Amino acid sequence: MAQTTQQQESRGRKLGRRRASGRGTIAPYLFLLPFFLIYATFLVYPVLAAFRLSFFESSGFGGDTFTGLDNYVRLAQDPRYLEALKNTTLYALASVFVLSPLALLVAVTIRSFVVPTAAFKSFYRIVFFLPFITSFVVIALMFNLVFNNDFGLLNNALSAVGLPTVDWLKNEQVSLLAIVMVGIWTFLGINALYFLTGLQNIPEEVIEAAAVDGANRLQTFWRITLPLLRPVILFVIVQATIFSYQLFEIPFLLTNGGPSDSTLTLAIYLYEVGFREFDRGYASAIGYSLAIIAIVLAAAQLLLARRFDR
Amino acid sequence: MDGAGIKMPLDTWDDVVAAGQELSNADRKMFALHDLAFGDHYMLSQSAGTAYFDGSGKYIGDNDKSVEAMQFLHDMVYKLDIAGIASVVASDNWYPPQYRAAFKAEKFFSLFGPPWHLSFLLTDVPDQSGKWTVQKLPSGLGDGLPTANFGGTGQCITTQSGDVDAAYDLVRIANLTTEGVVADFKARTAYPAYKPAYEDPALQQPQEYFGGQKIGQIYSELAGQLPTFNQSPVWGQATEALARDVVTPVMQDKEDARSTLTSLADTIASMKQ
Repeated sequence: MAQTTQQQESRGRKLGRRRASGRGTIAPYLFLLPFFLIYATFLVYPVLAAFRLSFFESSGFGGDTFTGLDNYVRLAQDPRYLEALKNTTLYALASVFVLSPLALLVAVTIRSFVVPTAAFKSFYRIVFFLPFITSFVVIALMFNLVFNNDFGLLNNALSAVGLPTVDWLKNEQVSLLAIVMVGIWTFLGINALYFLTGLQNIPEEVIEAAAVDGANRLQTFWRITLPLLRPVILFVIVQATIFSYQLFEIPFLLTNGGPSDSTLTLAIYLYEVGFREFDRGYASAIGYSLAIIAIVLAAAQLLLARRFDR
Repeated sequence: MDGAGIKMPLDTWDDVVAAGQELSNADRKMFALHDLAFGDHYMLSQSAGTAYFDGSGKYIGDNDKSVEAMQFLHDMVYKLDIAGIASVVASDNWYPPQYRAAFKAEKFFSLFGPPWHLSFLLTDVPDQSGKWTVQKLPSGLGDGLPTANFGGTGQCITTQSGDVDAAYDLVRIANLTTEGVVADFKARTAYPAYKPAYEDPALQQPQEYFGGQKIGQIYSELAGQLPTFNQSPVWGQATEALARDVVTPVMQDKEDARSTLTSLADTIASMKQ
């Protein structure tokens, strides 16, 4: 009996070691398999297939014809693509130079003495975050009413203070500005939240030390807070750039890229070419150009940040 | 119209302009013209006697009649002061709720459009029942044809179809039988393109909304005079470009009709067939 117990213990220890090392069993791989299968089927395969397709003429129901770099050459000569690139870049610039500083301002304000109690701080955090979890369709419906030329909230407010009104979604001179405004409203909260997290991670002692050394609030912000926030600033700017180049839902629902292509973005143009004109090869080239632009810009920002760190 | 002593129907566009100027003011216009959709120009250019493509599929939308139609649409808003810009949105650039609400609020009191367009009056503006009448398009613009086409449904059977005969039967029954097209007319007021159905009693009934007018009879009489429709492999892209590069800038008073319709030729030429 004693021998049997010893044998069982010994076997148990061996099994435990084997389990701990993961050797000799395929169970972990089986558990991971569904993820990798889905990942390969719905991400890796489409990405590779689209890359191949970008070198082909592929439209309608016919077969594909290899055309080399023709689709990429066509990009440089396509006025609608260039217009979409310009609009998307302007939106990305607004995200980086308007949205991100505003989000930082909101974060600093919520964290500062301006918002006195913890309850108020939580309240404002939720208020600013709510637009981010609101459906884009709901946002579009709401801003269609806000921007309406005849009875919209914005034009009523403008005329109430004696300013001229404008047809925000149908005037090509201001339609992109309207999209930027909706973008700021939607994404301000999530970006402020990133900054808030960064601010919370700055040690209080450093701020106190600065105060002891005689730094006022502004000096502390410029010399202490901002430098210590650099990793978060970098993250916010990189993700704002990447997501800006993928902008689709808001302009698609509000203006459908118009009027006269004034709010056409790369993602909307890709959709039009791929799913309305069924020019799949060219749409794939547009998609890859979009990915390359986002990667290059993100890499440039990271390199720039590294240079600043030195 | 009755109150102002305006006699219906209006025979010429001059009569239309005179009536419009008599009844339009700062809050109320005769027409709500579209600046994001090509339909208004499409209809008026046909009435003027032209089309976007010729029989061989070549773009001809930059001819004098087409320019005249576009210019007239522009002038109705900015010179003659009888039309306003329709309140539309990107997701529905023809007759969204705002557009319908404007008619309900009597901001506009006339329209030109196809049968399916009129259907919104019955559903969204029921209190104006009996006040509307239907007439042929006035003369005086180009050739002055009394009717035009706008819309239509195209159906095709792909070579991949598992049963081409069964698919064709479905298309035939829905489109090429009186029973099929009358069912569609009843369901969504789409006037049939199938001529043998024109005499069907369902299309000859007096319509209470239109003051007892037999509007089906009017359509039947005009249907034979519909201008020929010339298709193009780039029809969809071309008409989107027309709305984007011609209608929007012209109807927003930013560019002129002739130059935009002329430069559209290059845009259409560059489209993949």
